[in-house]
Amino acid sequence: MSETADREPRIVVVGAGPSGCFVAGALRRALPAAQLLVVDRLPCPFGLVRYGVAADHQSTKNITRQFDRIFTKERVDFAGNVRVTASPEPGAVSLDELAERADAIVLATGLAADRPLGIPGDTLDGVFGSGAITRALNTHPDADTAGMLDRLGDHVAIVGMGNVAIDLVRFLAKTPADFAGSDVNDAALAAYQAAPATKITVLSRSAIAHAKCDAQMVRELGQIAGLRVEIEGAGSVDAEALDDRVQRSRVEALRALAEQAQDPRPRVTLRLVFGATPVRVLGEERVAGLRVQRAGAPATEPTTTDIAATSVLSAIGFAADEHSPLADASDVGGRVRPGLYRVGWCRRGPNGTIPDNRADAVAVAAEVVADLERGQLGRGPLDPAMPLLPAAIAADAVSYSDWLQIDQHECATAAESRSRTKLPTRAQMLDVARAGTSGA
Amino acid sequence: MKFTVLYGTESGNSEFIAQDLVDHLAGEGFDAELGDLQSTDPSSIDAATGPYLIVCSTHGEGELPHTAIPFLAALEEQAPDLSGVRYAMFGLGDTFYAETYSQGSEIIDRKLTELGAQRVGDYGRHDASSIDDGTELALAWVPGVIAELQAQPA
Repeated sequence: MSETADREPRIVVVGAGPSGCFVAGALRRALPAAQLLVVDRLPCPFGLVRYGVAADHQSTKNITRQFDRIFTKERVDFAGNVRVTASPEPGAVSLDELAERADAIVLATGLAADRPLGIPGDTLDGVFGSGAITRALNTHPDADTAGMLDRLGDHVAIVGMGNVAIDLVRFLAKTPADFAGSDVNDAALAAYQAAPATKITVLSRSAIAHAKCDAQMVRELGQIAGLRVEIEGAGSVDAEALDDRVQRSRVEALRALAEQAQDPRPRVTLRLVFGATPVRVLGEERVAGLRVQRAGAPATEPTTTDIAATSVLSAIGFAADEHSPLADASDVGGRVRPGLYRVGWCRRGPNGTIPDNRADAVAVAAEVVADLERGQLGRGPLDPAMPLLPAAIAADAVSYSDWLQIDQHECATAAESRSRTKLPTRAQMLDVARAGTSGA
Repeated sequence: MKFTVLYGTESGNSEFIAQDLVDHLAGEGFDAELGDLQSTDPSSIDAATGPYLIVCSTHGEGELPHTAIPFLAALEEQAPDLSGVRYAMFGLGDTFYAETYSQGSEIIDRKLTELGAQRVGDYGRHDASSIDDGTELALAWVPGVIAELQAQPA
């Protein structure tokens, strides 16, 4: 740190999901005495770890133990229930207001909206985004659970074959007993289980070797009882002949699944179709099916096929929503301008798993530190006694110890065979947080 | 005795466990230094700066974490004689990945052994699918390593 600095740097991270937590941790290691604050629009931290990672993947959610540590042991502050906006709004703090209080702002706001299919019919009733479904299953306070999971129907088509699509398949194909130990939303699960699908078709635009899902995600499907798996459009790709180890593992896992999951009287039939690009959602008002362009169809046959479906779930990635303080995501460096940075999905788009975002966060933290060391960030005029948040915003904020009250409450009140039962609304989370504070 | 605690990490868990080991060793009165495999040159590894405690995770299909791959490549290229170097391994993995559980650290372990280094103590393991805390397991594991090092002075 420059010797002319008259006080320690002050940095605000916007968004307490994995990228925000990783960047705060990396900044802490580089700047042991800096004032670091992570804010989130929700009253709780952890973003997609809490609300995006599938409810039956609790071991993936264990990464929160690591994040817990930066807030409880490494003097990183948390302020939940704080909205950061591009322009001033009542009850929110704008980027300009934050910039008057902090040397640097790092946006880690992710990508909250489902990328639309972008084909005719994609707004028909019965087309749902994977993010919307995942939020419902994860009890996100903004989830609209009504009228979705109870209307998926008998034959669900999923567009996209990344890990999010496989998460959806597990949810659709598992029996209620398979959710033991999860923190799935029981009302959402019950709504779906009233009339669960018996047919699931997953469409991958890519060829089998280039599908986006991880081999382990495919292998896990083999544990679901009563499943019959059919693979179409894979051609005669020979796993042994693939040089790329990841591709080979994926093809081997898919072939092994299709061989193993052959229940003669299946509860659920899963069709995995490769080289299939949807061109139209069929139906008048409500989804009736999908028209699909098939790669490599013989010239004598029609180039499109119609697939019947009672609902269509899009799992083709995510985009910025109207709450994002900075809308466009492109793969550039973390620096938007000196003093404003972005990290994770809102920097480089909706690709990569939780660990990938650590590498990204370490790189962006290094950019922030380099700008500080070069004296590029206006550290002179800020009053060292000025809090990082305006008083009116800070008064309604949820601290990390408040969050721990919510966390304890959710675990203590977990329904039978659930690891936790999440509080479904902001108001309930705030009530529990405040009861904890005042009831000391 | 001076320890060097090296970590290879993808999600950051190994780094925290390594840091906790350093703090624990310092509390026990040992010299202990933390190092990232990403910035470790194999030519710096010798009996005088060891023993080494290596905390390393597993990535993807039983592979090394990305941050540890350059270290392995440099080890293979330089192929230093590591006779007299003593090290202990603590591997991270997830039994969810049954076929490749905790194999990342084993790649480093095999290479170090092949180059003449000697592994001491039990092979420590943490399973991310368990409810166990990685640091607690590592702190329960390290006394056995220390005891064995002290019983057999280098």
